[in-house]
Amino acid sequence: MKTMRPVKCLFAVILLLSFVRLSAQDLPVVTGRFDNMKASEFIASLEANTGYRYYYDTTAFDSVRVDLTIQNQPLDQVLQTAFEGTDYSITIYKGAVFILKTAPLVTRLPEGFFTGGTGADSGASRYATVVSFLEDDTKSQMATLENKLFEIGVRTRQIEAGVAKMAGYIRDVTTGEPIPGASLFVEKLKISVTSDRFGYYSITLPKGRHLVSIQSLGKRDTWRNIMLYGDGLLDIEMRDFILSLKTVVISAQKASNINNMHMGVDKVDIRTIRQIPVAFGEADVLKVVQALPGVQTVGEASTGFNVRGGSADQNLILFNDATIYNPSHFFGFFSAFNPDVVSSLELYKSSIPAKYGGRLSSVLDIVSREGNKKQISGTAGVGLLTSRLTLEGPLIKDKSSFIVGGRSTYANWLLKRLPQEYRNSKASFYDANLLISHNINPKNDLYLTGYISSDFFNLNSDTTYGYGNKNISLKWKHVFSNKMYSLLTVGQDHYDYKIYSEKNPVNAYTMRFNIRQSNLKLHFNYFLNSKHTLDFGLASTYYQLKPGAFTPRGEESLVVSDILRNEQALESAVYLTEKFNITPELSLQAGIRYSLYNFMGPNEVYRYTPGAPRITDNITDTSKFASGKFIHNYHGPEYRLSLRYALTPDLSVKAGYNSLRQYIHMLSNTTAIAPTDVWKLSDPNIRPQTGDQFSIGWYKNFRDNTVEASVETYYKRIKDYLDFKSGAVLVLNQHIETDVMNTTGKAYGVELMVKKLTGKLNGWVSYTWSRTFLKMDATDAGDVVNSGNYYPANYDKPHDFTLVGNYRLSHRFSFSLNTTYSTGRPITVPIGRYYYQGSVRALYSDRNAHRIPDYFRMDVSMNIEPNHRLKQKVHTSWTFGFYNLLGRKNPYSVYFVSENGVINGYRLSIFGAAIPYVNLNIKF
Amino acid sequence: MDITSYKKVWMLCCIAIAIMGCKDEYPLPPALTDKNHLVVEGFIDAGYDTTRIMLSRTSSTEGWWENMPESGARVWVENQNGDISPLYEEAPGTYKGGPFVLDENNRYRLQIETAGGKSYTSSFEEVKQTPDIDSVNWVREDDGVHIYVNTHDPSNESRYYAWDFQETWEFFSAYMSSFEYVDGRMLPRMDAEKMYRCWQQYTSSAILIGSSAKLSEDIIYRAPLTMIENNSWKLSSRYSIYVKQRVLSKNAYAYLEKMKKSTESMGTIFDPMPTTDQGNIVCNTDPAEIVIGYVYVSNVRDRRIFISRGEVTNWRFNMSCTIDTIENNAEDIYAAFAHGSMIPISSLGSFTTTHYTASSSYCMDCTLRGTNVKPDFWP
Repeated sequence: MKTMRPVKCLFAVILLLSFVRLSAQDLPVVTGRFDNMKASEFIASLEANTGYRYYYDTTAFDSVRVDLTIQNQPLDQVLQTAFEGTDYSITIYKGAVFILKTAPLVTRLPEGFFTGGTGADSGASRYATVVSFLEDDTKSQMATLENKLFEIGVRTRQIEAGVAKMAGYIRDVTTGEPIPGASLFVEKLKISVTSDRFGYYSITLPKGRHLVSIQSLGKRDTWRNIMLYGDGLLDIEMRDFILSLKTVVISAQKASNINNMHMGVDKVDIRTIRQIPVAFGEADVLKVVQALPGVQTVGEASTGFNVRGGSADQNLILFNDATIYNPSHFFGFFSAFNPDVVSSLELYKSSIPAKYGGRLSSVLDIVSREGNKKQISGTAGVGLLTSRLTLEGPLIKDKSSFIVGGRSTYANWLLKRLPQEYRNSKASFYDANLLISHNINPKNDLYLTGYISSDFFNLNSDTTYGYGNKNISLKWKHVFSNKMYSLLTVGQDHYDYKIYSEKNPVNAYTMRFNIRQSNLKLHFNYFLNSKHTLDFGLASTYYQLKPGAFTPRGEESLVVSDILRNEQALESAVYLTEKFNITPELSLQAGIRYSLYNFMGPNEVYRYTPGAPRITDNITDTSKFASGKFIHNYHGPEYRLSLRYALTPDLSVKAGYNSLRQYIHMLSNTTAIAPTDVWKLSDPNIRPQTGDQFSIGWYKNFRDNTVEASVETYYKRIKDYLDFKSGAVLVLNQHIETDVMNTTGKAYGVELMVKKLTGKLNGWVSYTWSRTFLKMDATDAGDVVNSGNYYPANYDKPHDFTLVGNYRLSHRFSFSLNTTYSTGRPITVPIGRYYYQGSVRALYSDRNAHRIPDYFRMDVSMNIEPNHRLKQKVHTSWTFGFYNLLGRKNPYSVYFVSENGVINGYRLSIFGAAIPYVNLNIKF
Repeated sequence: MDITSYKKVWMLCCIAIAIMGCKDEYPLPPALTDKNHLVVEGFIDAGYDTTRIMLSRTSSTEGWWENMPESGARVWVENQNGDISPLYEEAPGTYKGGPFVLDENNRYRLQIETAGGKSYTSSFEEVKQTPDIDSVNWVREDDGVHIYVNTHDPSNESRYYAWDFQETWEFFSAYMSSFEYVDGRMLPRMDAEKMYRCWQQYTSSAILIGSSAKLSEDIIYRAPLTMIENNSWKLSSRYSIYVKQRVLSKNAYAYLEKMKKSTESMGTIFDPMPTTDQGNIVCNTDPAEIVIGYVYVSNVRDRRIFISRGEVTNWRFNMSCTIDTIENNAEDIYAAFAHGSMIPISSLGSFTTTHYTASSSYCMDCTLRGTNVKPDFWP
């Protein structure tokens, strides 16, 4: 005799049974006499005689008695008779009998289910009409949300034909934080969507039964059984992925790379970021970006990165939609993003959504976390050079939350211990974040992001450098309906730098640069139906640039103020993207963005003799423009197309074409981005940069989708990129157009990547082969670099290999290994020597004709995670590691200088030894 | 400083921070092309000095440096009226002429016709008048003695300056030798001073330029010339620096500044890309041909100062020489002194000489490190 398990459980069993094809039944025959017997006793006796198992609710059965005599009757007849007049129904299925206070169970699939019909015509039983989109269910049957059937929409007796929309938020179960970028899909239908940065998703599905799978990096895969009657809401909570040693859960649905539209997109969550060993031990967002295929840097001490042959200023770096002009601290040794605040990052290398614009190469979208909505908590991190503290918690429980984070360095005292020649060096930086999210009501949310960073350093010279970002943005999300929501963002981004020197009182000066942009963005998302999703909006940015102010410092200074005219411009764009699922295998995303740029007064513009080289001698005229006047306009369309075709469930091909425009340029004549590099707005003499890219990729998953492999190739063209002439003066130059030259670029490459994100061993291996060439267009030029022929860009590193791996020994211990190999970057080396002013000097000719030695580095780290006791108040984790384990002196640059009359060549390495580090993180 | 092992751990990290953490030598890569451009160095002297123009050729990066003088050229100075003043080859590649009497209101240029038949012309340049050097001064700092130059032009017209200098210093051997070894015998040394007191010279090899273009007045205050590192032998006794100043045209300054950046100032994290630029000299038949050098018209002002060791606080100089004693027997004396590896200082012994004190020739003979000819200007 079986006592009843909880109803939910039983329900699950029934569900399971209902998917199995039935075979004809031969029922046992019963003979016997039952006088006023308790129903439970009656069943017990039947069970003994028939060998069938009986499922019923014992408590509900108490009042039922059976009075019956039977002779050779089939079991179903017996039960029918016995329970006649009660509201119990009887279902017999394969040796099991279910006695329930509901309608009889359906043990047979609807007609036409396997032939593809909808079966929506027979209305005898409500289940008989259900169109089920379920897989063969192999999930273990447990009493979880995952096995519960969620009914979405207004329940109807009969499932209507057509589609319905389901939307909601995906959140973390413990903190209530939204989970951006989670993918939600119905494998059977090859329909997938991704949650946006607020964790919001919306999916259109045919009405009926579905198994919806939800995956997100660092979270345990989950799924929901839904019964979709009509439009409705479903919020989904996910748990952190806590690794267990023995049971490695392999999910069959990790196919989002196959199914989603985007190509050339890399997404990394903070958990992966933390595992990657970095110098000085603090998790570094940008170092992870640099480990991705297609991303290169000129060296360790460089702020910028180069994506698929683009220059460093062609990356749009967004932190919660705020543009960060300088994403690094201290020459790029630290990224400007506090790892405790970051949730994930996404790098778009190829199919850049139409909502983004203004930069040619890539969009790096860094998304912060939202604060814990349930309770106050915090994290603190202590490293050798930096410390950080983050506090978060609810402002109004379950409604609004905050995060405040700060980071600072204490490298100064360390610098004091350096050898004499560096002892007067000083370096300091800090950054602070404030994030507030508020849920006004289910339809309206507000998000506030504030960010500030500041850097100061002086490497034992007379000159002190400082720079900083300041950003603020306010975002309002409004959900009109399941089908549509809007996002309104207003914000201001600010970047400035300052250089000063006061050692020589007569020449003491301060030099400042600053740029401010005010943004307004209105974005709409409209889920038209399961086949069409629209995405449209407008964006406007007002730039105010102070290109340079050179002023005296101190009373004795004789410096004459030299202040370049302010520049201002307005960049506006409208865009529309349509995602069209043509068939489950084939989908298309087409976007168009039209951008308009107005260079505005007050300003003065030089005119040059047409066709003659742009030199000051050829200035023919100076035009003055009044405040607010549109001096010059540029506009043009940008196309964003991508196409996906799934050849098999685990193999797809994608192709894309993208074109972009960029109206703001960074002027740099240094190999690495220097803190003194200035930005310049397009003006009548400086055209906007344009670029386009063709790409094609193959995506294949292996081993039940736990291993993802991809091959992407691209060809990219860049026009009107600004390169500088030999010996250009870029700072405090009133007529910068005389020192720069429009440059054409071409870049192509192949990126191979194999990625494993689950299991004890996870990580990725990537290999990239790529080339990038630039060429100065010689139309209006004096002396052109390389006589107008193509030359390799500074970051042209043909071979690039990266291995990022993590191996978990146990719940708490893991090892990480990071290996990078790349071809040395090109440099300009002397091709000859000459004697001048008492010294032999180097003669240079063609730019970038030589390469520095190859780069190879290996880093390891060991991470000790806190124990998983939930009640413990403070969790600590440790990271120990070695950066550059092999102590290889990787050259950062090779240079030649005339010293005491002769030319000496040197190879400069940033890290000459293995750098040990330790980092402590405390969570409370 | 203090706890050493503790410090070592930190030092590892420091190396990383110290940007110059690791600098290794790197050979010049062999030349990819072997161009030999014409190099024109020098200026047309607008004062009362001789004008010297050096013509040479660039050479490949392979092998030892060898100067490639351009001999047999015809060189002359020309003004806007077409008046010509020729220069004559004084030594291979060095052409000299003048002193010329230049008209301040005229402009001058250099014309070159090489033996190979190519002709070159520099741009017409204004005659610049160099103001006096106000002072050359020095400051004792932690890392050594820094030497600066100061000047100004009340008319505010000079603005761009170039300097070069010649350092001369007097130094002494560690000990004075009283004996010398002659044919197996020890004789009193007669000209001991000649091995004891010497001078050495060094001529600046860096491009030294400065500008007051960004200042309200044409004042150069403490433009750094050179630095005498701590413990340097230059200040072991007395040091002198002779500074020459010239005023440059704006373009000449810009040219030298680029040359300095590309050939002297590399090696930082934020290096600009090195280039070699065209100066103001153009090949008449092929304007695209690169000619190195900028010929300007200016006169020279000079200044000499002396610094004595005694004036510099806390100057330490140590030659680390040791005194050995050699027994006074033929065999030992021969071994020590016959081949010049040791030089005797003085004798020991109350009545007869039992021993000679001696030190290495490096410590005893200053002519190994300089000249014992006293320069004319030395007081």
